[in-house]
Amino acid sequence: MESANNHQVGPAANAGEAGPPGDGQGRNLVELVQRTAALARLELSAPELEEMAAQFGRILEQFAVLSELDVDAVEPVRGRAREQDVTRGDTVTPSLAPEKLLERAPQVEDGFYAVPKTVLRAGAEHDKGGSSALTPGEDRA
Amino acid sequence: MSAPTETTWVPVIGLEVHCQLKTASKIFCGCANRFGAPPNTLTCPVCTGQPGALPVLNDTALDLALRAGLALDCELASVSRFDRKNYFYCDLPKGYQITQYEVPFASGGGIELANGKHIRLTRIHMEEDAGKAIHDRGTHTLVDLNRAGVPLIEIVTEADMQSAAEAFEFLGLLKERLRFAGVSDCDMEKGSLRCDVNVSVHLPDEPWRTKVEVKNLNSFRHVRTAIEHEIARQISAYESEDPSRQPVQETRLFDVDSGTTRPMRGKEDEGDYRYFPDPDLVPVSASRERLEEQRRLLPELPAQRRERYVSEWRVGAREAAILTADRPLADFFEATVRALAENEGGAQAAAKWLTNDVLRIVGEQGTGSLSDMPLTPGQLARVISLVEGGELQRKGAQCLLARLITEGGEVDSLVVELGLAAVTDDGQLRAWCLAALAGRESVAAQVRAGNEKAIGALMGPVMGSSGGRADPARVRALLLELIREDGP
Ligand SMILES: [Zn+2]
Repeated sequence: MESANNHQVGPAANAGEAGPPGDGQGRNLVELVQRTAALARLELSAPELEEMAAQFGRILEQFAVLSELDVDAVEPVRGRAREQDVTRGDTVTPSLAPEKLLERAPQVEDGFYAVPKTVLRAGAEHDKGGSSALTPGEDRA
Repeated sequence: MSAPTETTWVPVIGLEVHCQLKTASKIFCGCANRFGAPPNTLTCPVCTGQPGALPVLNDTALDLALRAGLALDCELASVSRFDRKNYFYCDLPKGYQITQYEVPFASGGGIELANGKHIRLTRIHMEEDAGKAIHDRGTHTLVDLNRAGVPLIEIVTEADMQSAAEAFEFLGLLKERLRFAGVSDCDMEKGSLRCDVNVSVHLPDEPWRTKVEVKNLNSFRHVRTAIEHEIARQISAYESEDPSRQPVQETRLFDVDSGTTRPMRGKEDEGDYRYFPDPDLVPVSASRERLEEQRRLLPELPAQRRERYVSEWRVGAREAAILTADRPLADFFEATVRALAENEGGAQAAAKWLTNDVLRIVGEQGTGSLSDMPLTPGQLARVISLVEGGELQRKGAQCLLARLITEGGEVDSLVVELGLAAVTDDGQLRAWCLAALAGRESVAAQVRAGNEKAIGALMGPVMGSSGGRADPARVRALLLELIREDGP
């Protein structure tokens, strides 16, 4: 992806100019792609956005066929087959040697995965609950 | 009309508490669930999200979650399921967190505060913990995935609390229950208990206003400070009527150093998480047998124990509170009482000795708790019996307990070895008394003149000579006898 440092992400950003003029459907798609890209931490240039929006449109159109089917009487399927209660005992098994996993990482420091700075906050280790994302949007200087 | 004053605003507070379950292994793989290991040494293809790796639910994680639900009086779902919560952050290797969204395993339930107010729970769900991202070392963010996949329950309350003090009390009671139930260590320092708060304020009889979430609270004290700060911030913003300061629905981070909160930019909206059923995991059922087993393993909870100690065993309320502060101590106390079943007032004696002497001596060791020490309930019961039988004086008993707590040993042989047996031989006691009287004629004269209190000046030397092994009441009686015999 082309880097665009001052490119704004978010549903409203540049939606008007990026979508095909006067085409409501197209603009919605561009917004959708933009929002999805922001959530996935991807930066798309304006031409890329347009290209993706067009591709998204075709994919969604194909899937729209499914919504024509009447599934009111069908039980939703969750998980594999109709199995239930597949569990394991609480037994510790050996972990993988750290080198095995770390050797796949682009960068390693002192046994840690080293990634681009994702939170800009002086002197704080961000250690929060196991839920929720943190500070998307604060992920670059 | 004058502007409303600060006192008229009503705070509304709800909590989201994450609590790590005390399992041996992680929730979906066999890596150890252990704090403090070198980075990335407790990981495998499943918890690092390698392609094709399949999660399988840990039985015990389910059991402990259900037990937590029982301990908090929740309604337990007969079948619960797992969903994927999608977001991208460096501590989450799969790009999604496995959690329970649509069908949590528990709902309802709650905890009653001392003022009688019932704080309701909305739900409890199971999920996996994320890894740890460290931002303050060098040029990169460093990621440790040892914590990724540690089993968690998230407890969500209704917005039933109205002050920082109520939230603080609720957390204390919650922690106490989960620890007693053996579900979690609830150690905020080690991150096994973490808390986010939702705060808003409104005027009486008016609808609730904008809710603000505060994250990054790593201690009970921080929870209290953050809530107090947030209430004050919102009230002052509303009262300023400055449009630029009006609270907006957002997530704020607590700043430990300043004790204030500040906005966290760009957090996802609920819809952005694109929850959907995890196709890798099948539904789990809370069968009747499983629930019965967990009900059986659920110990009597602290509030019930306190009540029983006071009403059945006539233990003081303050002592009962100390004894139920943690489960090993309460269990130790009860075992001691059982060993003293023959003794009249055994429970009161055990409560006194434990809260006064045993805990003091344990505290003086600086590290460890009673359960780390060699002293057994049977030994404490024996010491108490010896004191009650007059074979051991208080001071000797304290000395003996110190030895039993620090080094252990056998009670009766230590009494001999350390020379602690009470001196009951009147001949010996009389000799110590005479020695104390020698050269203290004036004291004897005062006593004879009717000032019995003066005898205190003689007690000290006698008790000193005995090395604390004499019965003070007997010494006093003997001294009086000798002074009167000797009198004019
Ligand atoms: Zn693992």
